[in-house]
Amino acid sequence: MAVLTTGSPTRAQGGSEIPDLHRSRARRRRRRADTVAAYLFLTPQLVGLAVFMVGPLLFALVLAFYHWDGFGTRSFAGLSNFGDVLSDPRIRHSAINTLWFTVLQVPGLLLTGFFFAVLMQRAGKLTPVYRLAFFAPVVTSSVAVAAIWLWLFNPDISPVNHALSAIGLPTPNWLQDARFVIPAFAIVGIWQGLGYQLVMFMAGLQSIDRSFVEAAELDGCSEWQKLRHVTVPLLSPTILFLSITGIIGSFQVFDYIYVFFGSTAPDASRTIVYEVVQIAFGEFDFGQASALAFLLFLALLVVTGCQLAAQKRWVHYTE
Amino acid sequence: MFSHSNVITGVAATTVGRRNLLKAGMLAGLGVAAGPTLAACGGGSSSAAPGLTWAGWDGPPQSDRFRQFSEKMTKQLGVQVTYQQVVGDYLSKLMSQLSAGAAPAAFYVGDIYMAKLIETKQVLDLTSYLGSNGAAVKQDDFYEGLYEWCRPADGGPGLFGLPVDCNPAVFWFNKDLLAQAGVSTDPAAQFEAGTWTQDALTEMLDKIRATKKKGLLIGGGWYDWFGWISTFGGTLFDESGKAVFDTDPKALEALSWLLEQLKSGNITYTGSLPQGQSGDVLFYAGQLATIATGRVILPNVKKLKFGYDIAPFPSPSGKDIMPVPVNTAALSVNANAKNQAKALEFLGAYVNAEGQKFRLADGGNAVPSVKGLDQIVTEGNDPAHGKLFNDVAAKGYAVPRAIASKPKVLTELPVLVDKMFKAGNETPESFSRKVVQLINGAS
Amino acid sequence: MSTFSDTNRRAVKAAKAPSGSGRPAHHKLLLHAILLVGAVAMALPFAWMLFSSFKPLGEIFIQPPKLFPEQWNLEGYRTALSGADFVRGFCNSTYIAVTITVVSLLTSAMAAYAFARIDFRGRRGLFMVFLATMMVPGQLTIIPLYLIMGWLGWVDTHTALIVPPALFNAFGVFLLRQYIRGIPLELEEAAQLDGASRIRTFVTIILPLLRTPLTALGIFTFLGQWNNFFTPLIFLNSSDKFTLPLLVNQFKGQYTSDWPALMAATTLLAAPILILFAVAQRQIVEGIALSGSKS
Repeated sequence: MAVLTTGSPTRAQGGSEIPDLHRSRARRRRRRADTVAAYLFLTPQLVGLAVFMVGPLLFALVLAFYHWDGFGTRSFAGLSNFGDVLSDPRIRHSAINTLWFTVLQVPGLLLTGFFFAVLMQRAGKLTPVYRLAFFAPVVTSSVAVAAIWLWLFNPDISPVNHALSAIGLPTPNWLQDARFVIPAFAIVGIWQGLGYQLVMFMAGLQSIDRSFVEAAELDGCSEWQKLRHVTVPLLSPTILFLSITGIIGSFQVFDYIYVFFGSTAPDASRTIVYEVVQIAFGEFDFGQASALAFLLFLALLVVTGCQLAAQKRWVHYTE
Repeated sequence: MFSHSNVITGVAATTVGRRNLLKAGMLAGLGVAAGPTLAACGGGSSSAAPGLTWAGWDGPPQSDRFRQFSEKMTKQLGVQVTYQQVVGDYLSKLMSQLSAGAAPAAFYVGDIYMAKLIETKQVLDLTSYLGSNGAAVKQDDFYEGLYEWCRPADGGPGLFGLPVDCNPAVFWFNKDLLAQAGVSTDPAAQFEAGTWTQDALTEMLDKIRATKKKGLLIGGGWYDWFGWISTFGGTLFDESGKAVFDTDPKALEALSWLLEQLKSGNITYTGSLPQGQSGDVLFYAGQLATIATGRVILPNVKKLKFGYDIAPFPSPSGKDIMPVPVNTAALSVNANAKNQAKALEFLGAYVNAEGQKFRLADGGNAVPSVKGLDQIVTEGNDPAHGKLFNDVAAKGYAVPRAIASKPKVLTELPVLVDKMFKAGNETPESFSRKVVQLINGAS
Repeated sequence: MSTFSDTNRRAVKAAKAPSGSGRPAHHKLLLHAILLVGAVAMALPFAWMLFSSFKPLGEIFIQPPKLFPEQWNLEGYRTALSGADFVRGFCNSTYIAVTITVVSLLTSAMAAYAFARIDFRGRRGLFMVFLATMMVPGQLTIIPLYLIMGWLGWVDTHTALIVPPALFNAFGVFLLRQYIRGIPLELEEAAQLDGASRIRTFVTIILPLLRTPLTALGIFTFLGQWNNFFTPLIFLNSSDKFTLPLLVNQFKGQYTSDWPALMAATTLLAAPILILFAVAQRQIVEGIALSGSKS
C-alpha cells in the first residue's frame, strides 16, 4: 500500500535525493499529519461505532460474567456462564446445526450465484427480465417468505412435494424431519440470497476485460478451461468478499427458525443465535446468552481471520 | 501487471454513460429533496404525552376497537389513554421498556413470563384493588379456571393479572367434509343426543380417513393435547399442582387412545409449527375435517363457503362438557406506574363485563372470561352452537401453574413431545413418565 | 497476474478477435431453458404472494394449488388499507430509509477513503474492529441500546432509527474500501502534485469515481432499511410513526391470520422496491462492477 500525502513527492522515488535522517523525520511528521487527517475522515463513523456499537457491546461483554435475569440485581458469575454454555449438549447440537447450515448455504449460494451469473451474461436482451425475477426474493418480506415456504414445506399441500411424487421421488416432510430441516433452511436462504449474489457476480463478470477471455479462446481453451483459468481467478476478490459476508450471515441465521417454529423449535432446527435469543428472552438468563454470543463472535473472528490470512494463496488482486 | 490499463478502461467505460450519470444524479437529488419533505409528513402526534399508556399485541381489526376503548376511557378517567400496539416480539420490547423504566402503565402478559414478572416485582398485586369497594370487577366475576397462573410460582398470595378474554378449545367441524365421509349425525347433534363419546369420535375419524382427507390434527403444546386426556376423565394434576398423569389410570387410558389414533393416521401430528400456521390453514382449505381450537378462527371461517359448527370435546358420558384447555392472556399493572390508581381503574374497566362486551361484540374473535355475557358468543347464531363457547370456558382451565411457573418447561414441553410423537414408539406409560418428569422435575 | 501465460497476452495484442458468436442454436435454447426454469422458481413465491392478495381466503390454500385467482377480489387490499395507514407508513419508511442512505453513504465513503488510502496509526486494528462488529448478533445489544436511546431521549422518535445506521455502516465501509483500493493511485497523485488538499482530492477525484458503487451500496442500504423490522419495533411506540414492515406485521395474528390482507400488505411493502430495482438495475450491476474484481 503506498503512502500518499498532500503536496509532497510520493512514494520511494524521492528517497535517493533526501538524506536519510531528514527522510525519517519527514516521514514521521507526515505520518502524524496523516493520522490526524485519517481520523478526521473517520470521525462520523467512529462516533457511531463508539456510541451505538462499542457501548452496548461492552455492556454485553460484562454481562457474560454475571448472572442477570433482565430485571433484578446482578451477581458475579466468573466463568461459569461460559462453562455452562460449553458443557450443554443441546448448544453443541445447535453449533453443529449452525455449521451444517453454513456448509450448505455459503457454497450453495456462491455456486448457484456464479452459475446463473455466467448464464445470464449470455442471455442477451432478456437479461434484465431474468435479473428481475431472480431479484424478487430479495425484496419479498420475511412474513411473506415464511408464509410461502411454510406452505411449500407442508407435505400435505406442498406443490413441490406434489411435483416430487409425480416424478416418483420421495417427498420429505421438510420442516418436521430432523434430517431435512437444516437443508430446508439452506434452500430458503439460498433462494432469498441468490439475487444479491447474482448481482455481485454479474457486476464482477462485466468488469472482466473481454480481451482475456478472447485470448483464452484463441488459445483454444474450452468453456470449462476459460471459466477455471480466466474467469474464476479474476473474480476471486468478489468471491472473497461474498464468502466473508456470507459466512458471517449464515453463522447468525435466526429469523427462519423463528418464523417457522416460534419459540418452540425442535432440537434439530436450532442454531446458535436462536439459542442466544431463547436463553435471553425465554429463560431470562442474559448472562449465559451474552456468554454464548461472545463465543460465537470469537468463532467468527477466527474464521474471518483465517479467510483474510489465506486470501494471498488464491485471491488475485489486480493492483 | 495489467491492472492500471484495465481499471482505467473500466472507469472510462462507466464515465462515458451520461444517461447513467443523469440517473444517478436524479436518484441522489431525489434523496436529498425527499428528506425534508417527507419529514413533514412523518411527525404526527408529539410523544411524551402525559397520560396512561397500555400495551398489547393485537392488530387490526381488534386494535381499532382498542383505540375506541381508549377514547372512551380518556373521558372516564380524565387523562389521555393511549393504546400502544406491539406488532411482534412482544417480550423483547417489554423487557427493553421495563429495563429502562419506560414500560406502559398496564400491559398484556402472556403465560411464558408472568411468573418472572411477579418474581421480579414488575407487576402489581391486584388483591387489594379487587377487594376494595370501588373496584369495577371482582375476582368472582371470572371463570374459575382462568386466573390461577397469575399467582406467584411458589404458590404465595396475590393475584397479579386478570384474563382479558379467552379462547377455550372446542371441536370445530366442516359439515360438508363430514357429509362426504358419510357421517350422518354431526358432533353437535351427537352431543345433544348424548352419544358424543370417544367411540363416536373414533368411528367418525375412521370414516374421514377413508376419504383421504385429514380428520384431526394435534400439536405438541399443552393446549394441543392436554384436552384429550382431561376430556375423557383423566387427571392431569393433583391438588398440590403436581403432574400425575403418568399414574392416573384414566389419563393413561386416554393417552393410549390418542397414541393409537396417531398410529392409525386418524389423528395427524402437525409438528412444532407455531400455532395457527398449519392447522387452521388446512381447515380453511377444506383439507381438514375437524380442528380443536378457539373462537379465534371465526372471522376467517365466516368468509369460507363450507358449512361449519362447533361441539364440545367428546366425553365419557357422551353428554357432558368436560374440562379442556383455554388460551388466555392477562392484563397487569406496571408496579412502577406513575399513576397506579388510574391504571387500576383502567384495568377494572377493561376486564369487567362491560369492557369485554365493548371489545368483543360485533365480530370479535374471543370468548368473554367473565360470566354472563352469552349474547357475545351467540351473536348472529354463528356458529349455530356458539353458546357452547361460554359453557366450555366455564369448565375449562388456563395454563396449569406447574407449567407456567417455569418458563423453560413451557418451551421445552413441545420440543420433548415433538420428539416422542415423531419417533412414534412410546407407550402411554413411557410417554407420560417423560413429560411428567419434565414438568415436576425442574423447579 | 500469474494465471496468464505470455502467449495469452501476446494473443490479446495480436488479435481483437470477434467474440464467439457462432455458438450453435441449441446451446442458446438450453441456456434460455435453464434460465427460464430458474427465473420461474425464483419469482414464483413472489407471484404467489401477488396473486394470493387478490384471492378470497378459501382460495389461497386450495388443493391442487392454483396460481391465478378464480375471481379477482380486492377484499384483501380493502382490509389492509382500512386497517392501517399505509400512506403515512410509506412516508415514514421512505423518509427514514432515504435519510439513512444519503448520510451513511457519505460517512462510509469518508471512512473507506481513510482506510484505503491513508497510512495512519491503528489502521489495521481499527479496520478489524469494523469488520468484527458485523459479527455481533443484534438481539444481544438491544437492551443496552434501548437504555442509550432512553438516555438520549430518542425513544419513540425516528431519530433513534436514523442516527445509528447513518453514522455506522461497517458493511458499507468494507465494500467501498475494497473499491477504492482498486482505483489507480496515479489519478490521485496527479491531483496531489497540484497541491490539492486531501479533502479536495476526496471530493473531486474519489467521490466522482465512487458514483456507481455508491448507487449500488445505496440500493442495498435502502433495501435493508426498508425491510428493517426489529429496531423500529423496539424503539417506536406511536402507531403514526410506524414504518411499513410494522404495519404489515400487524396483520400477522397471534394465533391465526387474515391471509388475503396479509398478502396484500406484504405486496404493498415489496412492490415499490421491485419497481425501483427494475428501473435502476443497470446502475446497480454496473455500480458494483468495479468493486467486485478489484480489492
